[in-house]
Amino acid sequence: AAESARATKSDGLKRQDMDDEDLVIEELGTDMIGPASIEKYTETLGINALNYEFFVLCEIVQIDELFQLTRKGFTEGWMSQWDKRGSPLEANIEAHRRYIRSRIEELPKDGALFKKVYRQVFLAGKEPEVKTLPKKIAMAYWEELFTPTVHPWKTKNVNFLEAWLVYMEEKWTRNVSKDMWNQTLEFANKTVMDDTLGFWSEDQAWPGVIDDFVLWCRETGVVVTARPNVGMQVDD
Amino acid sequence: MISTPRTCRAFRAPCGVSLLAWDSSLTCHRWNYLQAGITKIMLNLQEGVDLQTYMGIYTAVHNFCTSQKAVGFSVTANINTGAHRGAHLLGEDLYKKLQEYLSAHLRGLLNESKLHTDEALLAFYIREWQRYTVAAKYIHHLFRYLNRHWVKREMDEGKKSIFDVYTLHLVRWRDVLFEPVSGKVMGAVLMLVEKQRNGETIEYNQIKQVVESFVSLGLDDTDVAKTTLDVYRFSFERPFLQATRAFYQNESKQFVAENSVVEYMKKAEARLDEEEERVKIYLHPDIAIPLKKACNEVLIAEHSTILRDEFQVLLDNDREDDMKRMYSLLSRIPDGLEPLRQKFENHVRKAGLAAVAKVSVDVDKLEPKVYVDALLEIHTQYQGLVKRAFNDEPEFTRSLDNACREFVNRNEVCKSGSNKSPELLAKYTDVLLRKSGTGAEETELENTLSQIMTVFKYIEDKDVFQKFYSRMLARRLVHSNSSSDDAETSMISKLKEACGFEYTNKLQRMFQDMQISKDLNTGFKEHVQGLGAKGLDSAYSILGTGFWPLTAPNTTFNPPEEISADCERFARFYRNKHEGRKLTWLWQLCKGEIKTNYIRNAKMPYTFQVSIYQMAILLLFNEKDKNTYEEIASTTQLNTEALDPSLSILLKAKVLTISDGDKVGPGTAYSLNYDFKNKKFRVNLNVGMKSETKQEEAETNKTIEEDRKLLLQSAIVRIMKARKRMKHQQLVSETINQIRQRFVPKVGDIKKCIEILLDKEYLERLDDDDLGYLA
Repeated sequence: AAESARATKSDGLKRQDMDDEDLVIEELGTDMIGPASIEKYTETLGINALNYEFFVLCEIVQIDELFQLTRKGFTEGWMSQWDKRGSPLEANIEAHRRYIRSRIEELPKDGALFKKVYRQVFLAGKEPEVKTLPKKIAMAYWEELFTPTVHPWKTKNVNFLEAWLVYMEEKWTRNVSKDMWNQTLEFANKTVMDDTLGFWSEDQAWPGVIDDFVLWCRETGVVVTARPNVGMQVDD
Repeated sequence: MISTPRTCRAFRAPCGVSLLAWDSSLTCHRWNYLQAGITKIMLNLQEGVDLQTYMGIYTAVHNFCTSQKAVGFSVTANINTGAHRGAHLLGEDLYKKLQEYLSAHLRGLLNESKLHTDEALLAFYIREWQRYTVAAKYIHHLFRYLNRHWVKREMDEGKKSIFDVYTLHLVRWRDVLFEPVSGKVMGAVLMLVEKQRNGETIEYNQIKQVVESFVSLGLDDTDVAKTTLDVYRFSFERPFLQATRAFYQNESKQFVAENSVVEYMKKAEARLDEEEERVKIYLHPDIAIPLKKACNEVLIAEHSTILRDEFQVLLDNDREDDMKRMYSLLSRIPDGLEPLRQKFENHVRKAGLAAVAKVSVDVDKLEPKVYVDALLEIHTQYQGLVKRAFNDEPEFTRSLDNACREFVNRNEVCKSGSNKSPELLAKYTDVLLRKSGTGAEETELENTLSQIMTVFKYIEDKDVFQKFYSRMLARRLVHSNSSSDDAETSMISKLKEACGFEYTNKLQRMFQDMQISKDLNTGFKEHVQGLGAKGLDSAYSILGTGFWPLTAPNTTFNPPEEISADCERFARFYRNKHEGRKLTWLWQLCKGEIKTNYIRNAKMPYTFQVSIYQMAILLLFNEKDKNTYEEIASTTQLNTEALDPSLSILLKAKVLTISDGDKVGPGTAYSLNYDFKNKKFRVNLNVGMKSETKQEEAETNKTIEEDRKLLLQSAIVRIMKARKRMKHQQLVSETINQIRQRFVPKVGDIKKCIEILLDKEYLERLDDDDLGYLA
């Protein structure tokens, strides 16, 4: 049933009277459109191109390297979305508009969705043939992704996002690898559950940058170590 | 056997009743006769028993059993139970009478015993016991008929508390006399033992006999054939052990209060030996183990704290004999030695650190030999102690190893660079293996190399040693100043034995290259002679790329005509032999000799030993006496890094003189010094600059870090390739295991390598801290 539904939808997209989305499709005839056209498309969809709402779109249509939208990403991306009743989306701009709005509203509540969006941002932001994201750019994305209203990275005691950005600025000199990017979210999710960082231990699989961040947090007093009373073991 | 009495019964049953009255009086009569005989045996056996009496008693017993048959039957005859009873009852009366008789006799003895105490009681008990048991043996024989028939049948039928006559004697003794009197007897025994422990001489045979008596009474009531030690254990061992404990508890407490620990150890040792001896002389072997245990507890375990506290003092003062004594004492109690081992380990570590600190006042000037000797001295000292005082026990050896590993790898010298230990060890090896004036003897050299291996085993960063060693081996081989091929081979095989083939593979290849080169040179010489050309007196070494820690020269070089002609001839010769191989000239390692014939006032021409660069420079002066810096540079094609030091040495040795400036560099000019003078006629100008070797060391250290990263990454990939999926932590510890023989990796470094592999997409992160292998 799903197969046929998809088929109809695909046909529908072609047959349907062209609406505002046509503009995008038309440009996609050249296989790839750049940021300028994407911005126009975001206006059509009624989302903010300058904040995290745009990242939600990135995840749906698989926007890739340097914010390029491909025909493949666009069609397959929309085709693989399902509405709340479990049927394929209607292929028109209205449905898409509604759908993306609901996704944006889900984002703060749905950790799995956030993770997908978060990971897509890395792919969308980096340059082709390069495996890393420049630090400056990564920092800007973190700041946007960890927006307090969406996915806050702070607790009532500690503002981790702020600390992380300071740490990046002062101590980290390299680019951000995919692994570091992905692990930062995993780490962030843990820190908001335990802001004493008691969950952390050097033996765990965290990347070195995160190990060093934890130590830095303790040294600079960003985080108060939970065990102040444990004395040093003195070797006689 | 059983069928016979049954048939008998069939015939005799009818006449049973009539015989009863008659028989009863007869029994009485016969018993009186028997009793008289038994009493005689019991009390006056020493007077002897004549054959007539003996036979009389024997016959009486026989008659007692046989003529009475009908009596028993008639008394209890009834159809239901009588089937076997008839025959069995034949001896019951006699048995009972004997039993009563023995009880009465023993009650008499019991009363008599009350007259004696202490040693007199002991003597009484032993005397009576002996008399009684000897008599019992006689009576046993006299009553053989009873034993063989009535007793045997009763026992076959499984009747309890029926014993053969001898055993009956013992059981009676035990129940009537022993039970009430054994406590007092034991008291007397213990008093004697205490006297002996206090140094008096005692009649220990008495105790031995008491032991024997007590052991004999160990009868198993359920199975007469078996003997047990229960009676003895309860009545002898238990009180004996109690008394022993009390005695030594008291004594040791007092002794410790008044004497030194060392004295106490001697005392305890003597006491323990004494008790062991006691068991051998007059106690039952069964007590050996519990007695030893009791003594160990009160003499050692209860004082173990003060013993252990003394250990540090003994260590500090090298009291080997006392440590040996302490070891042997504490080894007797469970977990007695562990605290000693810890103290020992600590002590050795500190001694090692102190020894290193003493020699490392100025780390930069530290002689490798001095350093290694300091390490070895401590190891030798304490290995000897382990051997002599601690019985060469493996656990102590392990403590020694732990301590040595600590002070070899983390001492004062290592603070200036964690690679220092392996570096200095490798350097010392180099000193030993290099040709030197001292010319150590071969066996001595071999011994020293073995000692090097002792330290080597403790080195954690074996890869660092390998790096330095291979560099220095390369230098020895290239400059052919190795002291002996045998020593080199011996050292390589020692390293191979310790670390495996892979570790020494390159070293071995280097060594082989030199051997092959020798043959090659012979071939080349013949080839040149065959051509009839006049060549240089040259020798070539062909070194396999990748096996030698050498790099191509970092300067361009235009060798002098004379040299290049020979080199090209050799290159052709070599290509002929090995097609497709590429030769790269390592000019920086080439050297030669040139003879001078320009120097005034020289009695003999000087010979200069020079590097090939210096040779190229000097040969320019064959054309003219003065060359500018620029001229030299352009003809030799050497860059400043190679040219300047070469010139500097020639200037310093006053072979050349400088003009138009005083520092080597552009704009200066150089002239030949015709007035050169030197004490020696062979002058070595091919000397490296100090800064060069320093730089080389720094480089070696840098390559170590690089190599380690690669080593770690390849280990990780190897593990993951085999396992496909693995927990992060598991991967880390597995990697440590694989790498540990070479160096001790830091967890942080492993994590970094994992990250690099993640970024290179050799690995991927999976759920739950798992890592996956991406082919």
